[in-house]
Amino acid sequence: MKHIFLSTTILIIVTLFAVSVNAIEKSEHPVPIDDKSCATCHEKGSTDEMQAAPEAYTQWDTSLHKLNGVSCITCHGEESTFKPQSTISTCASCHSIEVDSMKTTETCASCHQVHTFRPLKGFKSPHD
Amino acid sequence: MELSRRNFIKSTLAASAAVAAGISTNSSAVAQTQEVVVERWVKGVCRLCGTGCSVYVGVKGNRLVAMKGNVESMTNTRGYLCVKGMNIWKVAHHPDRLTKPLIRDGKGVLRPASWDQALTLIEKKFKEYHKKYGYDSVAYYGSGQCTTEESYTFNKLWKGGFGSNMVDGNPRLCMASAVAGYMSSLGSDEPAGAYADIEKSKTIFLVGSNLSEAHPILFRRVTRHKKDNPDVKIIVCEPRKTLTSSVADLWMPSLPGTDLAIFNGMAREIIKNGWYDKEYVKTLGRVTTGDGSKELTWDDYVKHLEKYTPQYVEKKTGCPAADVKNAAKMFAQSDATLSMWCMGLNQRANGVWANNLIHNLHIITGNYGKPGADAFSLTGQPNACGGVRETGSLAHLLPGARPVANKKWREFVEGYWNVQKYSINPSKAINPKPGMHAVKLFSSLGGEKDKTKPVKAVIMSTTNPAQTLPNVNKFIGGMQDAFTVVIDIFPTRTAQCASVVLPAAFIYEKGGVFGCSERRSFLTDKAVNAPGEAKADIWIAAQIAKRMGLTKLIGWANETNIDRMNELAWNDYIGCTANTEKTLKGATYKRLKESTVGVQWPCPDEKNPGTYKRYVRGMDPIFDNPKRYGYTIPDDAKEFFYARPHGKANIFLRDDPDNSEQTSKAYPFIMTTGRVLEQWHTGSMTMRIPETAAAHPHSFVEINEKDANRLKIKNGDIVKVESIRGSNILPAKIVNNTLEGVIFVPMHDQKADRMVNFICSDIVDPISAEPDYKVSAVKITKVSGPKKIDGRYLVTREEMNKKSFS
Ligand code: SF4
Repeated sequence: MKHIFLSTTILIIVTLFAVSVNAIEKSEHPVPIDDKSCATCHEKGSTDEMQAAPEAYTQWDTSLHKLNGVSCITCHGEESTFKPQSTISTCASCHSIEVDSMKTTETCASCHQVHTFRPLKGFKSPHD
Repeated sequence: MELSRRNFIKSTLAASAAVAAGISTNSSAVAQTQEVVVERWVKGVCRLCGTGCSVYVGVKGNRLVAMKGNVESMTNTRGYLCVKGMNIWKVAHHPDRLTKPLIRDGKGVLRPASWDQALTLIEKKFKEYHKKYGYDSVAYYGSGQCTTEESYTFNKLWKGGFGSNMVDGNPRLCMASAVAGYMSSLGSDEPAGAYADIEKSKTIFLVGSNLSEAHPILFRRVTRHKKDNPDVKIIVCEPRKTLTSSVADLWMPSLPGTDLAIFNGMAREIIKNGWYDKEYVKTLGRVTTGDGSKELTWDDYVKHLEKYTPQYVEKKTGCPAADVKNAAKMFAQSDATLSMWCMGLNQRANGVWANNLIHNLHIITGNYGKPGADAFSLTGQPNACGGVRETGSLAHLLPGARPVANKKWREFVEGYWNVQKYSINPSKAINPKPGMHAVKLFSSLGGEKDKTKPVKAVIMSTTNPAQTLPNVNKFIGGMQDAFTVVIDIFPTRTAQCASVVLPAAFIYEKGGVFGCSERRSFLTDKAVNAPGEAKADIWIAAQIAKRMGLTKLIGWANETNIDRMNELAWNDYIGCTANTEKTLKGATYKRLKESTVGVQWPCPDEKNPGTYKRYVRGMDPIFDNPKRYGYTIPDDAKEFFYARPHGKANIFLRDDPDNSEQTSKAYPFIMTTGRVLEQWHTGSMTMRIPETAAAHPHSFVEINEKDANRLKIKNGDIVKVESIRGSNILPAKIVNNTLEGVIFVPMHDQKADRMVNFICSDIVDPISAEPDYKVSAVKITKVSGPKKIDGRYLVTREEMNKKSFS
């Protein structure tokens, strides 16, 4: 598992250093989104379609991001711009103070639960 | 030494990717990437809403590649942006950009033309119509999205050069009631306070505003303030229980068009319980009625309010009586109350009165001059305040937001512009008679054959009236028949009606000043060149000026450098308004270039930091030299509404008439319209951003579940929404967060059978002439079960050649 993770990371690094802004590595959403709302499949208990990653949706549902209108699409894009994990540049659109204060080895998710963005226990904030 | 991310990016400069592993709580691996190469960051403001978020646009070569918030900003504090703002740069390089002038030929086809051909045709038509039909037969219809320099230039060209006040703009459709409200209640347009009052307030009264979607970054400030200070009370008064209400201590439902009764009811409770500020009322209030000329007594006011018992209010508005009492208490018994409102109050048959009644509540409770207290009207567009209200680019105003009918001011402006010498109108003067407001202008627009239509030509910039006017069907023929010139960056419904389409530069391709809701002017620097032959509006205005013989009036007409043109226009503008309370004399172009926070007027000189709070000694520089601005302020006055006689604000006796369209047996529902978070105006930009288009690809109709049950309408069913004027076919969205009998349709969709303004009422406020978009009587019928919707609809280049809308 660890090996797969490491090689994926290296692959992404290699790929990304080779790309320019207009040729961002393309990821495909596993199934066509077709202008459906994300909640259709991701909200817990939604019955219309197959259920996918409901924990992520549930976490987001209680987050300040939700309250402030930062929805799935804001961070993950839509069908043509889909990214399974958000990018630092996306986070930096709003959180450049925090991003600027991070070490290069860190990502937002190093210290924040991904979809609630509450700080994880035991991490010292680098943003002070 | 460990590298910070900022240093890492700086030190590698070309670092296009910084990938690292993260750990999520469910221990799956998360990789985050830095995919954007930014060569330089250029400061500016967001192109979209009136919040005026300050940004940096990321540039690589001649392309915009990213956007980030300005962390020093006073508007979007800490640099937050909403999903629209962070993605708006994407429209700059969209393949649909208009890049060449187009002239419609005899067969109705828009053919590419040179700038010389397009401008020659405009010159010919304008001169011909001036001669044949008079100077008022040619109009300019502008926008709260043009820069201040552009609006000022067109305004000067028309009012000073042609001697015609046929200048209006789309702020008439959104802000005119707020303007008239401020002028009649306080004597001077625009708020006394600023966004900084949010964090200082103890009670926030949000009324007629779905802040969470229309001004999301201000909503973020409100939610953060509430989170940090749970004692702060938030009251939300709106017909729909939107996300905005989720942070409210009290949601006051009200049937659209009825809330004047709520405001009077709250005033009654405040007075009855002795919660009003007697001293403030005595020193700074004056009871009046009608146009404000007749003074009445406090007892008259109390008597007038007798009718507005909580029970009466409940019956009329649907707002529970107990809520009225509660709201009155929270409003009056806080140390500082801040009201914020938007189109829910302005776009109303009684919009000005609604504004007056909010001011009443603030006057009787003394909620203006102290930190955290204000009556704050939010603007919908990024430069409606700075560009249109302050430059006076409306039919009844002159720069400084002073009426054209004001002889003294008109003569000053005539002198400043040297109208006597330069005007091409034989009167050699500014016309003392106001021009036509938007709805009247478009009702009066038509072809040469139509003798009933006195307006024969219009040039429209950065706005889309063929989609945005209420009861729009009424105006499309006139736009098609008249000589219409459209300046825009994309094909729109209005461009579809145009005789000539001029390709415009986007804000980051030309730069210029935007002034947001809080009196703050901010200069956006030019970041990249415009594509193809697209040009800045100020250049277009200059070419028209030259061809019409007004080179000397528009002193920057012969310039070729847009930055220099902007600077000269700005200097002319701030000189013109230097002796008004709108003064930005201290906001020199150099200062604006260097500033990363902008400047709030009044700002009379370069040493002045700009003004957070008006009407208060020690904060408002007008107190330092009132004579310069034509005012008299007693030496001992700490707070003083100097634009009103004796510094007293008007407490208006205003009733609650039913001037909006009323429901009937045939049309039993009230339809209200508004924004959704991810879209903006007619969607010509946001429907071209993949993320925002996907989030809201088409309109829908929100129906209360009880109404839906009765009509056997289920979620996703296709329904027809119809008024006496027109109809839409929309998917239903069944909700339980709105009052029964009220439906909501967003306003952004361009598809002909989903353009909500075909349905909307074209009743206008009798004072401000702002349309009543918020109240239309409609019926709804089920058409079919769920169907696939052709979302993300956009008017294409090809459709611009068709007469009918698809
Ligand atoms: S809140 Fe308004 S100004 Fe701010 S980023 Fe969003 S659209 Fe732009």
